[in-house]
Amino acid sequence: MNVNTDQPTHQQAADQQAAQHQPCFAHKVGHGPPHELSVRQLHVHYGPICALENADFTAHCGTRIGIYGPNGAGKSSLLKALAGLLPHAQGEVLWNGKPITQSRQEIAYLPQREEADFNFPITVRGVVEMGRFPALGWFGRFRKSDRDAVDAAIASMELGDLERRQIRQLSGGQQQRVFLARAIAQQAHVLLLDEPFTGLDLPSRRQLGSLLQRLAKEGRLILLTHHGLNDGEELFDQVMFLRRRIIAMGPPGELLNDTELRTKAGLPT
Amino acid sequence: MSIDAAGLLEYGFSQRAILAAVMIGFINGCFSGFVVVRRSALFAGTLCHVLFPGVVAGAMLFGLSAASAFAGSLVACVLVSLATVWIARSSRLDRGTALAILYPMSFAAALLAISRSGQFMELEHYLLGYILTLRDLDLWFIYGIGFVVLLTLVLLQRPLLLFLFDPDVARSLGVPTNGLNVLMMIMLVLVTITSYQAVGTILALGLLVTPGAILFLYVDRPRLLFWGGGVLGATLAALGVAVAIISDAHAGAVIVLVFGLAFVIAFCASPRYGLLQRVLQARQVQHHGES
Repeated sequence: MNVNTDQPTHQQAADQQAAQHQPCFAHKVGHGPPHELSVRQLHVHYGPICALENADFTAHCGTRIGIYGPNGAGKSSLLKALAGLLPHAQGEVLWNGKPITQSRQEIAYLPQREEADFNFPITVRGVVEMGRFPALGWFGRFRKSDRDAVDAAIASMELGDLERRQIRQLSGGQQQRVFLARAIAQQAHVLLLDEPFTGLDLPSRRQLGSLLQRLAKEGRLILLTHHGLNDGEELFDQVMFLRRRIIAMGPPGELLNDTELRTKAGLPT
Repeated sequence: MSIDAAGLLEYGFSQRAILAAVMIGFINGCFSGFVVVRRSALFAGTLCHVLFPGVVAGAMLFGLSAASAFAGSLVACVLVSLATVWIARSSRLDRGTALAILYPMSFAAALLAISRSGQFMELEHYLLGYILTLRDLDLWFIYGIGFVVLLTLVLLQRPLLLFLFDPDVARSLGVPTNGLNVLMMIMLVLVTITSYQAVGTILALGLLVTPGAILFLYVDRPRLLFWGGGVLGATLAALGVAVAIISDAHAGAVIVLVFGLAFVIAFCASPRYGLLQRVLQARQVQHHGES
């Protein structure tokens, strides 16, 4: 019997498919390399105004990256470009070597909280269920596996007691956890969060910080914009200083304590 | 002619009016949830007024008929909507401002055309509605539009929900939000076109906004808002027609007043936002303060 060794076996193909759609626990147990986000020569212009210039970096699953910069530094533009929201952005954004537009389900974008319509007549569970829509498509039937995924996401974000509440009836921290639960239900690998800590009280910030740490440990890549310089070492595995260009990227302990770099990035010293 | 309640379904004209009211009320009610959550009630209201210049243009070109009124109003609304979007996207002006400029322009042109031609007195029907004089063909037309609108809403419910709740997230997931926006505008035009037969172009806004506004005070689930709005709209419209026939009053005015009255009752009685609830809470606070 001849076996074509170039073709993946059925089991290998199933493993590859599973790896694409599940958070990448695989590399944690030695089953393969971590998933990779590569950004190459990314430029964002709004008309004549340049918001982001020549952004170039690579990031892997299991990492929390804090993006710092003054107002207008291009932090939100970077996240939006990664989320595919800026069609005029130039450059390459690759997810595992392929254009990220081919893997939209892998990316979950969480805009700034004030951009959401909290008057919308929807419950916590309703928002989390939306996370299943990309997998279901426009007409796919909502099955038991989808309900289980929603239940798991709600439990994971400790929202079980709140699932029937309308989203306006939640605190800022709880609202942020609802959006994270939607991303988990979506089974996204990459979470892009625009200023998730803004407006939260200290206990909510701590809770959100530890949840993000757990999500990263489970194998997700988390990129988020942030302003607080004091809690960066605790919150992030890597830090990026951005001022239209990437000024520096590295361990938070090194960058956040470097006053020269902070000055160069337009951050308070 | 006045008819008692028992005789409502005996006459052809009243049967047609009630059947039309049910479908017109249902699709307006379904769509009203969209208008309310998008906060585009004023935009929709202004667009309703563009129907009339469209009817006049259709009548000038092809003679006054249901078909010319439909074609004229459809083309006028789509043109004004697209021009509005185009102005808003290519300048600093917002959509409401652009529409507020285009709508009086088209209305003024229609008035000038009427005064010059000295005809089309039947146009009053289109301003104030003619649901009691509908023909079978009109009914087919209303049900045809209703079917198209409802089918679209059913097929697009998931991307629409994503789009309505969070357009940026919807776009990041590949939902064609610009296309949906245009499609919903066309649906809005089709829905308002059915309304002018029931209540006329001036009062059409009542049907298009009130059911969604009522349910917005009560429900926390989008499905209840959209489909509940349909059921509520159909019920209120049919009730309005029945009251108008029994009391021999102007049908369009009665339908809109029934919708308005339902809103007043709902607003007072809403357990979360209602006036009664606030009065009771204020009394409780006062009582606790005294004790």
